[in-house]
Amino acid sequence: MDEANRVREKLTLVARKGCFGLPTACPSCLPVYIYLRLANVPFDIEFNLINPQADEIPYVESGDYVAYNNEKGGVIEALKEDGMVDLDSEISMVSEWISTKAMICSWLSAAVTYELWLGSDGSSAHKIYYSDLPWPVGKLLYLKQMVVAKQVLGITNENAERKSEEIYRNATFAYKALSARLGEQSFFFENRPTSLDAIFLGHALFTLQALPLESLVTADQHAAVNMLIRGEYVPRPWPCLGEAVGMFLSSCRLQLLCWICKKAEERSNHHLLHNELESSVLRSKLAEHNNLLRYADSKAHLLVAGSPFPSVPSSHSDPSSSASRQGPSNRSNFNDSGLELAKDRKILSGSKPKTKPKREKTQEERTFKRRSKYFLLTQLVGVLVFLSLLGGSEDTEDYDS
Amino acid sequence: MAVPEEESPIHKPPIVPGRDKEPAVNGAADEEEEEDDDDVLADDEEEEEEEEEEEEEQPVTQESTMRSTRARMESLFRRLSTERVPLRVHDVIVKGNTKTKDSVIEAEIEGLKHIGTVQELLQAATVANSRLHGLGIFQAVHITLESGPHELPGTANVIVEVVETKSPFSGDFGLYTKPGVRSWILEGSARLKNLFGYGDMWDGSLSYSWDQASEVSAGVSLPRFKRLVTPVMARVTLLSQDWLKFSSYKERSLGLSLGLLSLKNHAVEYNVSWRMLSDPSQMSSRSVRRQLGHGLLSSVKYIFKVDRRNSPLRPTRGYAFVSTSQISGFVPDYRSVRFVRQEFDLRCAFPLGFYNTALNFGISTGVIFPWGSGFLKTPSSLPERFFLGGNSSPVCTLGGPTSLWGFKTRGLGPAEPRREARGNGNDENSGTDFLGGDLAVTAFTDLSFDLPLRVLREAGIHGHTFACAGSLTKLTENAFRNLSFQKVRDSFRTSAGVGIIVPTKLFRMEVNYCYILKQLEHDRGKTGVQFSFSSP
Repeated sequence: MDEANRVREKLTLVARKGCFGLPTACPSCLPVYIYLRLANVPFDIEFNLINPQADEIPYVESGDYVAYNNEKGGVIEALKEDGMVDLDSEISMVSEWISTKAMICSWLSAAVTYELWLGSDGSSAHKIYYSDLPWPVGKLLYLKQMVVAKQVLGITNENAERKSEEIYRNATFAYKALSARLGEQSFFFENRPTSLDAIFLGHALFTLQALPLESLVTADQHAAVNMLIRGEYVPRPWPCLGEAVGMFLSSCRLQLLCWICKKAEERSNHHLLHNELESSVLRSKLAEHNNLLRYADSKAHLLVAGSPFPSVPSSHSDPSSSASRQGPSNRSNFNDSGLELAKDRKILSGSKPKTKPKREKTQEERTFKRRSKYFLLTQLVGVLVFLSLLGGSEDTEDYDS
Repeated sequence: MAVPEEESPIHKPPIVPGRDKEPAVNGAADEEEEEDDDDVLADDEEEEEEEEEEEEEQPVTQESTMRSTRARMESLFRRLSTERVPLRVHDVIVKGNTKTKDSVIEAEIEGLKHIGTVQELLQAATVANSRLHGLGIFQAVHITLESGPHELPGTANVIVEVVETKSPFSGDFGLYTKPGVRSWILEGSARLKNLFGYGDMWDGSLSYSWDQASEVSAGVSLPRFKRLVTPVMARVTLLSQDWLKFSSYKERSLGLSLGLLSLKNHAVEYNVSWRMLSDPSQMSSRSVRRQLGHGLLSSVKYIFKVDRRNSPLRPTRGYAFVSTSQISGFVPDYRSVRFVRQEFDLRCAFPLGFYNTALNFGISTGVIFPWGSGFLKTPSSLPERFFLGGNSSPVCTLGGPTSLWGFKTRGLGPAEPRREARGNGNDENSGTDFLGGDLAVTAFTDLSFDLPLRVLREAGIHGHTFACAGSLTKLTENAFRNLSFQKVRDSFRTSAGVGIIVPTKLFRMEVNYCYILKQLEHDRGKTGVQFSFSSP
């Protein structure tokens, strides 16, 4: 009766806030989100913005029932044990499944922890965990967490280099093993989703979208540039100006970004994406395996709430979420572009970190330049025509606004 | 003791000749100067008396001198009591301060310089003496008067001689109540007085409160800070409070509080603290779970207090009114905790004229509401809400609506069931969390009377009967839209009872039999014998 009651009350997932195009950007919360989506269980998502280091988050609640992450081996295990959501029936005893899952939960998890807290400038960690806390509190907690991460990974000043190599070596092995296991299948085991898929997808999507970028533009802006390459960019008009003028200015802004990207590339003598490689070694290692990237890309629609699984991704809709605080849910329009970003890194899959090869201009860059020029020209012509035809009426609109 | 003697200097015995400085008067001796020279010492009557006793043993000729001096003194006192004797202070000389800065002493004796008569001088000397004693850094304070320079008739010099405390270190242990803490506390503290000579008082203390709060704090207070005329206080506090049993959370906070203004009726303080709420038991209810985490509190509090009751422990006459206003969120950072909180307390006591009976009325109200964007949907901060119940007596406590006879600590108000108990064999009911309320109202009436036995009367033990009512409601998250007068009226819990009050040196204890007249579901009110403790 209790279980039936539980099932009847809708689940609520309390997780850390979303950003970088992810519904929840915390590496321990995202697998739970994806697990519930894979199971097609309707749930609400709420954000906890004030408890960045609590190991009980994420948790799932349904009425008075709560499954915390620091009990029973995690939220997913607790939900299985309590009969709430179980995708692993009959597979959970298969030894290969268990060992693969353990490999993801240990080696890949350690690699993400290292990159998030120690192997980068910490901007991603700050945005995910501390951007909604007052500055002094956030700063102190961040410093404390860096120390904790070092302790968890067993890193000291003496063994830092060795530990870093060991972590990345383990990650490389793990990706190779997973790539071999996946092959061309849709899922890792028995061609159906299990919690292993949820955990790997959470890891992969986080690695591809949230690990820090050391570039002159943000991830969202870079994703916009990529959409421009694909010809999918739709500039947003600035409502305070006439529509045509607004769109023109918006496209000019994008062109400026492209120019900045190009100049940065020329100045530093690498490709801009290669800069990202220096700050996200893990991403480059993942990018070496096309089937893993394809697999992550094919499941990216899970990040959009409201679209059931499995199905064709529906149009973007707001999630039925109620934030416990005024938490900015940074659901950009460029959700899928992050994965395109990963595809673009195919070019660099063979590159090693911390080397600076001279790179030749690719076909894609030439196409990008040509298209951007045409686009700019078209916009300019369109604006001129509009202005000349309508004349003073557009000026009046401007004055009114 | 020096202070009480100063209050009636006119009635002191005459000064023994030889102790006074002889006036260097010219031929046209100014009677007033001589009388000024014979002015009474502001204190040290004991020394005078000792000398008088010694001198009584001397030959008879001295006796006659004494008699004449006494006659002169009596005529001086008659003059002082009947007419204004003009006098000006020429100079104030400070002696005896080796460590204390002159400016600290001079600030306290400022009133001595602006007097016009002898009576005013005596009064100002009394005030200055008590203020210097009030600094807490002097062992003894002597204020003496002597004649001014010869060329300036009608003037006097005031000599302030202080004896600094030998040991700047002192320790304390006792039971106190502090403003802001809701129940009485056991405290051990160590003090360093006058470390830098500015009258500064440094103290460190460890305290434990009866609502499971422990606190480590260190503070400094200055009688003067630059241009501020009132004492300034700064305190760093690390507080840990355990509410697991009542509301399933623990609170830890590290804070700095600054007392900016401290007058008789007004006080302003600023507080900034980093607060962390956690739940080690992981059994909290939904509303508490949403509030667990870190927060930064930056608030300004203004307290207006008028207390005209004749006694805070057993008021039989007078009234008291306290208003506490607090605004939090005084930093540009929108992510800090933001709320407005207001409390009112009113107490009245009327004597009934027989058996020392008195009727006490009291009413306390409090409201808290968040502000900032989305404030209608935001819940109020859990530790700042109002909670009713506990073991303190509403007659004595003036800290807002907190007490209600018959109900346990945090024993009434909005409640939520806790997390479902884990395991099949466990008890299904894992309890409820009391969440407090945004609007609190309490009212009481208390009739106190002496007991028939003289022994008890002499010990101060008396009896009382009482009746009280209290209500706690939620306003936030749009709950105020569903509020109506009828609902608020129905939400009042009531109790009545009779008891005996035993005042001791440390605290005031009540042994009451309470009968719960009305309580709602989930409330923890219990009919029976209950103990209440309070200290003024």
